[in-house]
Amino acid sequence: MSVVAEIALESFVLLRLGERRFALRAANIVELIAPSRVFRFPNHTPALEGVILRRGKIIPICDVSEQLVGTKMTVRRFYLIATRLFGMQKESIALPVSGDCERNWIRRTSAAGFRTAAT
Amino acid sequence: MKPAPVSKTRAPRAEQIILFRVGGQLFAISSASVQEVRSVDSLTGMTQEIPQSTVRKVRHTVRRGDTTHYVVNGTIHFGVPAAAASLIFFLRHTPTALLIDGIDKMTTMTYLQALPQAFCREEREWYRGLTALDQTVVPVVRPEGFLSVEELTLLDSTLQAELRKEQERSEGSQDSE
Repeated sequence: MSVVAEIALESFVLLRLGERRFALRAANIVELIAPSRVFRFPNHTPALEGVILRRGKIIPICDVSEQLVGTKMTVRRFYLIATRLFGMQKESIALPVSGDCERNWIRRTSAAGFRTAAT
Repeated sequence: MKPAPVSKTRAPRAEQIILFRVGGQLFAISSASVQEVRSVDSLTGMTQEIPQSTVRKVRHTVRRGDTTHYVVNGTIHFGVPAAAASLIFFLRHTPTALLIDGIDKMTTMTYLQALPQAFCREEREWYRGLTALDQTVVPVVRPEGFLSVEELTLLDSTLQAELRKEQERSEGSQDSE
């Protein structure tokens, strides 16, 4: 029996961080926007570099590139606005991405905690 | 005939705020939280040093009436570049006096967004939330957030110890006379 077990076919958004690509469930994506003015203020939360103002809403920017690819991204082309759950509360966060994003139907598989994605 | 439905739209609650800078960084505070604003120069001779302060951001106290205010260095508190403080805020409902670079202006905010949950460290104590003013986002500080209960307890005990030492010294000098 194969170690890799097929789970489902789901809609994902493929995003690029540096040279690598990652997938995020499309249901968690709000929009893809051009970088706008970043407002910074003192805080101690790692990976949070400030906030942006989008349609009157203040959205934190969370740069996850260091955690995911090991280096901080120098080029950022877009902000991918995604939703994140904090307990019962849903909030928007802006993820800086370094390339185009595309929506795709992906077969999500799992193998010993490792996820692979193929269209 | 039915009466006209009551409109559910409410006018946003306005709050007077003071925009001020610490280490060049812009912050807002409710003007109701500020008891008095004074020039740092006007405090000459009124401050008392805490030589063995256990809280790095507090080095002095100012006695005003019955209350001793702990003078908080805003740049150390927020971890922003050091700057010469020209003004001091005496805050209400907390024995805190805050050193600031200066005041930008007084204005009104009609919207306060809670600090996003993504911010999960000390800043949750520092800020009441964020407001957008003239297409700029400004953090609105919480007056009680400058000194935690633990820090106040430490400072109180340090101050008590200093007072005891001073009493002992003065008693010693009286005995020698």
